[in-house]
Amino acid sequence: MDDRRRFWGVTWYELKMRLRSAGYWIVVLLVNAFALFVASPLNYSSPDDRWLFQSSWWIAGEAFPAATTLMNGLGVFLIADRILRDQTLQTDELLHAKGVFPKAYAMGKWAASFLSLCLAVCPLFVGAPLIQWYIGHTPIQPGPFLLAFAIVYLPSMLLISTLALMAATLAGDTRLFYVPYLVVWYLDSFQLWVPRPAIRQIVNFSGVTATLRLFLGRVGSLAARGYPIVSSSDVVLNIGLLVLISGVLLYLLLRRETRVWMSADLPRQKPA
Amino acid sequence: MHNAPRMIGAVQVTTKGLTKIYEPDIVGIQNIDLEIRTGPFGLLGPNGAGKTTLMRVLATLLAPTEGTATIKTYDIRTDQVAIRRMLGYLPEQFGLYPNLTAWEFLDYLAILHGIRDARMRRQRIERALSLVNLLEVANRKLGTFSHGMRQRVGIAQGLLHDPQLLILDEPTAGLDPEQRVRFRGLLSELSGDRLVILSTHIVGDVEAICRDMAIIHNGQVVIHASPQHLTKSIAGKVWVVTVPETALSEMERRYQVMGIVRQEDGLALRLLADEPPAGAEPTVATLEDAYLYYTRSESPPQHSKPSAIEPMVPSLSVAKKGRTREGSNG
Repeated sequence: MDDRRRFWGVTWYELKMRLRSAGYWIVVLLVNAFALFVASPLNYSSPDDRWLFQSSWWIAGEAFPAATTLMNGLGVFLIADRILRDQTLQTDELLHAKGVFPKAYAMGKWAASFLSLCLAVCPLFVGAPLIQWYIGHTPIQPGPFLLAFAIVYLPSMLLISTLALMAATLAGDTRLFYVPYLVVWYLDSFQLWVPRPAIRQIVNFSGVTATLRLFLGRVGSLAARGYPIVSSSDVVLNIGLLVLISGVLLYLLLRRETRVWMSADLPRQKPA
Repeated sequence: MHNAPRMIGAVQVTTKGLTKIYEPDIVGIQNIDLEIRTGPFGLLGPNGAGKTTLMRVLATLLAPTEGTATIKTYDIRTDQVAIRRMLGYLPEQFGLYPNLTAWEFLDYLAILHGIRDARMRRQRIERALSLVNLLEVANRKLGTFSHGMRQRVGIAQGLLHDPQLLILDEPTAGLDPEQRVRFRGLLSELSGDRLVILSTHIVGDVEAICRDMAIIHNGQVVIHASPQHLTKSIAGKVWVVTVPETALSEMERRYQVMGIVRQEDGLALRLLADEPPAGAEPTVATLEDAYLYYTRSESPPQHSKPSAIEPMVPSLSVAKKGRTREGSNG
């Protein structure tokens, strides 16, 4: 019972701190502006494409994957230092002296990070339908936007929140995480060129598979636009992999934190 | 080392051979044997003496390399949860979240400590903040606080859950004189029925607050006694003498000089000696004299060392540089 309350306490105050930082709002601004740009007519040179804006599926399938891709790159900067920060700020001794609650602490840190990423794209729920209303002049369907958020955006955020928190904490220095991660993030852009679908799903963490199958495929031919044909099983495999890897990373983070809290030897960091 | 009959309270903390070696081979503390009773206990020592290491070990935040320690009936190695539940701890160096207000920060820590009831948390936070005189700025962000105010927030968080054991590492560092006096009063009030372990290098704090104390130096407890006993141990051996400036180095070579004050007619030296130099007048020994005597790393010349240090006080215990010498005149 105490641990559950501690978990909510850590989550609530971590989220509060996150939402009060200027860096968070800069990322929110960039991600939403980029996503709305991608989903807007500004991104299309041909007037022939304007008919696409009549479909909520198309706009949701453009805006949320764009937000996912950019957030995959920028979001890690918001999250990676959440546990290390307690060491550099030297708040860790105060927290540890309050008891032994490694799981509530680590899960709270992660939950706050994940929630902050989820909240970051809320403006898209207003901005993207507005584009459809203004350009497409067709009735807005809320379903595609919610589905894009749940199927495209959330699994990716699940992965990067656990990956950033775990890898940076384990590395002991956020810089040791950022550099290799940004390489991986960049390589993700080339995943459509990976020939075998199964392998492609391993390197794909920006929701492209679900986007192609569930959203863009509904509006015109994917093959005609040069996209590979993806099946429903590819989507399931991709999302399953993201959830599974996130689970493993979260488990590793919990184990690491439990070891640190039980060893009674706090890792020391140079004060900020 | 044996313990003098310093206190009447029950033994709350017992350490035996407590040692912490940092890798590689840096001694934090070595063979610490202590019995600490209910009430305010002062741990005095210079920077790097091992005070913080001992505090962190007792707070279960650092595992000892060797030895044992119990707090009440709990073992520091195995009963971390129970010890931390009754512990209020202020580290020497700590940080606060700049984006939270003082109230929010304390609420966060109160939740982590397991204070479930929101009304009770509110009452505790209000009380802790008013004790450290920060209630008026409770809703200001911590990032805007001065060093002294941050220190007071640190003290407040240690008091939140009305702990049975308070471990305060350099609590008065950064406090202005008014706050320091206030804090001394607060600690004296708090330490009535609980154990307060206070580490500092400010002798005045220990003198004002503690009924029992130990001096720690080079990782070892040099002496464990009451402040009064400690002062008595060098009584009659503290002298004041005025000498020309040119005689300073000679005096420092021959005697243990505790203080130097520049005057119109030369230098007024405060020194410790069995046989005083010509013209010296006796003066009242202070705890600071005793502290300086026990923490001087280099032993003074034999003739100036108070040879009667052990017999001065019945059952005064002295352990210096790994050796244990016990008082024997009683």
